[in-house]
Amino acid sequence: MAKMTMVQALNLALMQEMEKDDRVIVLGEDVGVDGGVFRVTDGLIEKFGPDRVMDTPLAESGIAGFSIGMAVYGLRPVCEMQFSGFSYYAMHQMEAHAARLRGRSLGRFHVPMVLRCPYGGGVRALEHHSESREAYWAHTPGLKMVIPSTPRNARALLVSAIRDPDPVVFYEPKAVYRAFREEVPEEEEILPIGKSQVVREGRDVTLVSYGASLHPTLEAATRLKEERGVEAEVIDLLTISPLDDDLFTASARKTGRVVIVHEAPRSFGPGAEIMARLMEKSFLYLEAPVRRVTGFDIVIPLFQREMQYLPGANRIVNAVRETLDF
Amino acid sequence: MPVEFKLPDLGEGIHEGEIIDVLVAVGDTVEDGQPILVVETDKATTEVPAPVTGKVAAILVKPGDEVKVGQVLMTFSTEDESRVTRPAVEAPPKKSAEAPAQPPPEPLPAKAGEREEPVGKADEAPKSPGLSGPVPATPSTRRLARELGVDLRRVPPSGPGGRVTADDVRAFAEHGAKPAAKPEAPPVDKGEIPLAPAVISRVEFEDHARWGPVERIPLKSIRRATARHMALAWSQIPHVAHQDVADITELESFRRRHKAEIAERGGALSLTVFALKAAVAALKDHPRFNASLDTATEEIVLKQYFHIGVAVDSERGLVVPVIRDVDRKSVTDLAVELLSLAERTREGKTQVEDLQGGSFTITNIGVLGGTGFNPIINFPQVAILGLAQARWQPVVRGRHEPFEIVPRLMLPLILGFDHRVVDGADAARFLNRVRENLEDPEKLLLV
Repeated sequence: MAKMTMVQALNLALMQEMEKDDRVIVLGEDVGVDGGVFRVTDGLIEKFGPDRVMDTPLAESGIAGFSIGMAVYGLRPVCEMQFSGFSYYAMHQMEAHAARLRGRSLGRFHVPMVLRCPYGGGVRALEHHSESREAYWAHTPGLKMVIPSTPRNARALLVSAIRDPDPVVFYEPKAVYRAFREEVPEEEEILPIGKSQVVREGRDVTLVSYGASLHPTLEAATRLKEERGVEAEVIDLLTISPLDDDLFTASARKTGRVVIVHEAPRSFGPGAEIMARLMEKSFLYLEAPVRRVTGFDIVIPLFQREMQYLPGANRIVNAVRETLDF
Repeated sequence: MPVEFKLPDLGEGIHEGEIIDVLVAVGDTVEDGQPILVVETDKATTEVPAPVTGKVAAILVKPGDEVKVGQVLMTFSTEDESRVTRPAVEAPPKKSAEAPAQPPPEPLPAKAGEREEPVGKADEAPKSPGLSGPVPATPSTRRLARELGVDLRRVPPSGPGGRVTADDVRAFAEHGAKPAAKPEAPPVDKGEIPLAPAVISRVEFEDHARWGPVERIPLKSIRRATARHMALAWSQIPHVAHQDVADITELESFRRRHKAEIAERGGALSLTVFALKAAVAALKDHPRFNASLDTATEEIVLKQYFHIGVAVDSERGLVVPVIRDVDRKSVTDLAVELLSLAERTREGKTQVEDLQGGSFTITNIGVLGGTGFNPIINFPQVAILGLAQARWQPVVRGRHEPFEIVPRLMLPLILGFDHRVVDGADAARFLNRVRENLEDPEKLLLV
């Protein structure tokens, strides 16, 4: 096993899947010769050549549409949007076709493609480079929406996404890209899409998060334990849609208190759906109103203020405290 | 506090009317809802009901007067001021269908002057939004209440914002009335606060080892029994402590004169012996201090015997052996019995029956010191007499100048009592009697 950053782990997943399956094609802006804007596709073109690793024009709609065509044809395209903030140009292709082709063709065609996008703030980037708008995709029937949180689960989930018979939007937390290293096994490892994980067990309060926000959430859980003896259970969603509500609703029935953490804007964000599921499945076990620690309902500020926008451990600890003291 | 009564809005867009008749006179007592005025408008003749129960303090109108909506017509003095401050929880709305015969709760408090609607028929329940809405409780508490068959509206809340907590529900299920859903046995409870207050049954124990090394000692035998009994007494009885100081200078010289002689007969003539005599005299005069409160039947149980417990500090902890029929025993008898009982207690030789059946308790910690303390009543008794340390003190004597300052031996007395059964005035009278007996040894002879 080697210690890898998330960028290296994603690269490993692509490398191995391309070796195993000739149908896997990588395409996007600068994914070939340049190796990708974040180097996720580094070395692929040298190994698999320009027929399987394609530099495309700067045209997100075209990249997505091209991928849909290849997928329907029988290939397994993995296309890259340089930043999720530019992926909305591809929204029409994804929403109108990728998400609908299976239904439209009554199951005769399906679209086994992956739309990879670095997402999220905390890297001092420019406008359109820091959004967390997973709700757009998660709200679209027919799309799967996956957000890993660590190098190891990023690799295992990307393998699943590539093999999935339907379109998967794969958001990569760029704040985690090179934040730390983790042991990633050389041999194949997959994680099922649509399954969340308990990453820390506890009995006093349930914290639900995913992606980049998982890390301040875990930091808050550690502080709560040290400062107040509070045992927080932390659940990493890993998949936003289809949402696995088994774990967090069961955890809420155990703890009676839930705080949801994400950097996406608050209103109509994933937290709202999680709260709704809690109402439906855990209502009679709640000891306090479910709270959300999220981004605000504004466009994420530029780097000077973005740390005030992103949910940090302080905000999470305070929300948990209010929940416990309710 | 006088309550102004203004002409209420009579409805149908009517703004004024003529007083046809005044049905009450100054000084009359009126019931809430009782007709007090007849007012004629251009549409009808209407009887206007009293807004409160009280006395008519002033009538500002006479027949023939034209009056406008909002004009002050009368003022009332209300006798029962306490109703105004009565906590809302005492009169929750009774919605349950199985008790239709019960009278509706009285209308609430009453800022009658501000009341704008005409008072409805007497049998209409008041429409107070604060009381008719759902009881605040978290969903998990509601589930617990449902599982335990507890009607949340009857549970006294202890949570923030008047919220009923899960502990409230558990305590109510354990100590409160039977579950509401038993039609064959309608609850006696009228939605009032129970006489035995609900308690939080369990509090989360925090991990103190976080702050530094700790040692854990099991709570055993007497310590455990004391802890349980004190927690019970403290949680069930609304305690009040009344205090006084007795001049025992004379008593002390009497005691010293006869100490040796009592010792020869195998007794110890301690202050406690005299306290027993003094207390029994006061108990005879004030039988409610020699009693217990039966919260189930809502009766005060007066005891016609005088078995007084005496708190003894033993190596094993606090033990309270009981001396039977104190009223029938002489000072000598008591001195002998108390000594032997105290010795047996310290040796751990008391029998169970030695510790049972007390109707009152005396605790004397004066040997150890202290100017006063707050004794916990020996549940289910009604009162406890505490003696702190007697000290020589300068006492001002005389009613007029020149005053005289003399050294006197002063004994602090504390009477802890259950305010459900007796009041502060009763306690003062009781303790006066004790004090007088202790101040005059001759009086003790007559007890």
